[in-house]
Amino acid sequence: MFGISIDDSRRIIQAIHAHYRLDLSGYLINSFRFRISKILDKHHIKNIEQLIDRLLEDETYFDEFLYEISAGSTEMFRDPPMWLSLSIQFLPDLFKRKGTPVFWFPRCVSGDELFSLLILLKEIDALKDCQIFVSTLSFKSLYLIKNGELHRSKLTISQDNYLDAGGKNEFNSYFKEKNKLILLNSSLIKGVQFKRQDHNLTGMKEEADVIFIRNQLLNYNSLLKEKLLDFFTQKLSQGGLLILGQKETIQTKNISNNFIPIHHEEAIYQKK
Amino acid sequence: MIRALTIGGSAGSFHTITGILKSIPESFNIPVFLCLHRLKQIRTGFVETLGVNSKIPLLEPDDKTMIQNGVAYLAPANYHMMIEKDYSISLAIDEPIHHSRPSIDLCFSSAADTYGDQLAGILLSGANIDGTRGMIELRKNKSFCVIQDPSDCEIQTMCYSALQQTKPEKLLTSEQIIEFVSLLNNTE
Repeated sequence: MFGISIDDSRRIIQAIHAHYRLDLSGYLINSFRFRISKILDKHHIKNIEQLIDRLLEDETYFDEFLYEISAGSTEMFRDPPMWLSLSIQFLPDLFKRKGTPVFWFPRCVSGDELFSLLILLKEIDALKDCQIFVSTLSFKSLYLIKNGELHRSKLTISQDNYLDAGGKNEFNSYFKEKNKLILLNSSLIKGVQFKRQDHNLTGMKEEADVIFIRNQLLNYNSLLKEKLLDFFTQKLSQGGLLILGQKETIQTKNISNNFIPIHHEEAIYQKK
Repeated sequence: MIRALTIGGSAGSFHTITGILKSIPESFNIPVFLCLHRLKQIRTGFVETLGVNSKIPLLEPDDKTMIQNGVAYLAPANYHMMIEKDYSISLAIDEPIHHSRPSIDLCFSSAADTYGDQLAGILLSGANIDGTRGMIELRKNKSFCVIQDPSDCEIQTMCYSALQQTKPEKLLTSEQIIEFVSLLNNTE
């Protein structure tokens, strides 16, 4: 399942860095190897040399590669208790404190998390009272999310999660079906601002009141994870929320000292 | 010398797992990685139920937890669990493999890649073919392989599938597996 060696993984990372000036060395090595193996199988590529040649020759293929080396979210309203606590407690509190809060998704691969938030904001009648920014590593992610696309296979589990998260409406009413896809109503997405960004994330100028980065830091090694967390700490407003995945923690004291874990089980942290 | 143990199971493996955890001595000095198919909606309570009579700590690790000897790590619901080269545990949300997340294949393969011939892997009763690829990777990395005898399994599919593809060092019943694990400590 880890069909390529650590050395071969490093060769790929070095070749990409030399050609595109994009540093992927912060990816966790086993996840990276596992996903490279899947890419080799999927595209019938025989060896690493062939993969590197193709990545360097074909920018569209390289973009697809960037999409595939990061695992996207798995379903909408994953961990329903987290979404429930947002809708009944943390977001109403936030809207009382802030006139027009800023939400930021620094690393979206698929639309699941964003679409869940959009539906939730719609149901608490707050969609028009906020700004939402989304950053993606690949143009493919940006395109899919902007179009509101999700694979139809996610519908049933997402619907179950939605109901467990206290969803108020008919879940299907937010989507139209198209072949193997479900498409989120464009009226929900139209106010969202999208940007493709590498790991430096320097393009985000605004101060954020909520940062969603659930399960995306799993992709990275401790060094890059801590660097990004440090950056998010600086970008968050006082009292702002940092939302990690359920099994993610802030391990460095220097960073955790800046936060109060206001919902320990769902990894919701508030900046002091 | 065995330095780590990994166990995969699905339907029908609960009794064997609780038996193993009960019989492992307090002085057990290697880590145990448990990858069990479980309902993803039920996030709490499972680890407590499983470990009620365990002599060693049983926990669901957070991402990037450093591995400690004498601790059993249960793959959390809805996450893949992998063992990294720096002896930490990483979690991932990649798509399910054989409808399974956590995937036994992925857990076994990563553990075998890290520990090689110092790993023992045990595949228990279950109702799908997850674990077969993992067993192949264990063999490839010279890890010590144990498969529950299908005739002793509540549901045979998982062990039967693995036996079609690979030959373990030992084919044991549930009771023999419990005894085998309790003696592993003595090989240190």
